[in-house]
Amino acid sequence: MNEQEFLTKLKEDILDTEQTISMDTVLQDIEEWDSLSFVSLIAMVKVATGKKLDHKAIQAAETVQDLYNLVK
Amino acid sequence: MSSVTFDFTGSRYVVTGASSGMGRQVTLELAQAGAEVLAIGRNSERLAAVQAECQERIFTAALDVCDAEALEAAVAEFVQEHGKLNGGVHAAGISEFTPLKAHDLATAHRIMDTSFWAGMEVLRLVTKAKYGEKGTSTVLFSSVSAEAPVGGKIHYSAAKAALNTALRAAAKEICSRGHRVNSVMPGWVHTSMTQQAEADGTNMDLFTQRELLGFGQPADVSGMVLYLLSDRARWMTGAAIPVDGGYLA
Repeated sequence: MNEQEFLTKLKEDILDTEQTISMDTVLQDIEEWDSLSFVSLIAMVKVATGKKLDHKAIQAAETVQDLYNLVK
Repeated sequence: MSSVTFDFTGSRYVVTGASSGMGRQVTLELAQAGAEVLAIGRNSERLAAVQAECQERIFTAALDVCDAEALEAAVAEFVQEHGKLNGGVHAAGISEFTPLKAHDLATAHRIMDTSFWAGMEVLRLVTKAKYGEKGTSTVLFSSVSAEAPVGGKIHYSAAKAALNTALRAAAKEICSRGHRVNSVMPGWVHTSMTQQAEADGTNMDLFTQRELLGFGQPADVSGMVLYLLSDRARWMTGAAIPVDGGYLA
């Protein structure tokens, strides 16, 4: 999954937000970034790439770029 | 003249199963109450007949609700032309006998696809930010069969029960944006679907005994649906409401 595909999935499916999201966006600044987003992200990445993300690693992520680093 | 009237002026809804029965009734009443309605059904001729009742506020899309891509495309087009949705009604469903002794997996899957999976897709689309306003209301058509299944209707009953369980989990997911989801559980209502079920050999004695107020008409159920869609039901979510003439009493 490339950066653009990840951003689209994150914005339209996981966060379902109309807020502008970039790789530099700080997760705490996204209203929709909540515990349900965590499980949605884990489920999406597993389907798309077969990877199982670590919940603690997601919690430690501060920016969208940090999340993408876990996925790529 | 009813003692209750609704005003849905300026609101937009998607209704599946809109070409007949209770879906048709809900479509007509929403349009009569001022809403713009995307009426979805498989039969374009019957949809056109529904649209003819209120040309200026009923818009149609002939498609199979199990075709998720076609469903989303129709919703996207409606939203682009008219604005975001305020809610949805999933009335599409099929009722066929699937007894264990004559197990037909294809029919069983079709029942689940139409009632359950398509219902989840309607809910997903209505609550998605690009298609729905904040605070939408969705009503799913369950059935008294979810609570009191009859023999031979294994998959129909399971599909309707699945809706009731799924909506409780979904209500918890979607509440942060003020979205609501509920279901209605109609009893035996005179529609083309129940006429077919009667012709297929349904034991009507059972229903005659349990329907304390007699068999219903689509308009006996649509009032509850419009109420759940309305702002008077703003504190209601995650509930399955019997509208059944006393069937579950």
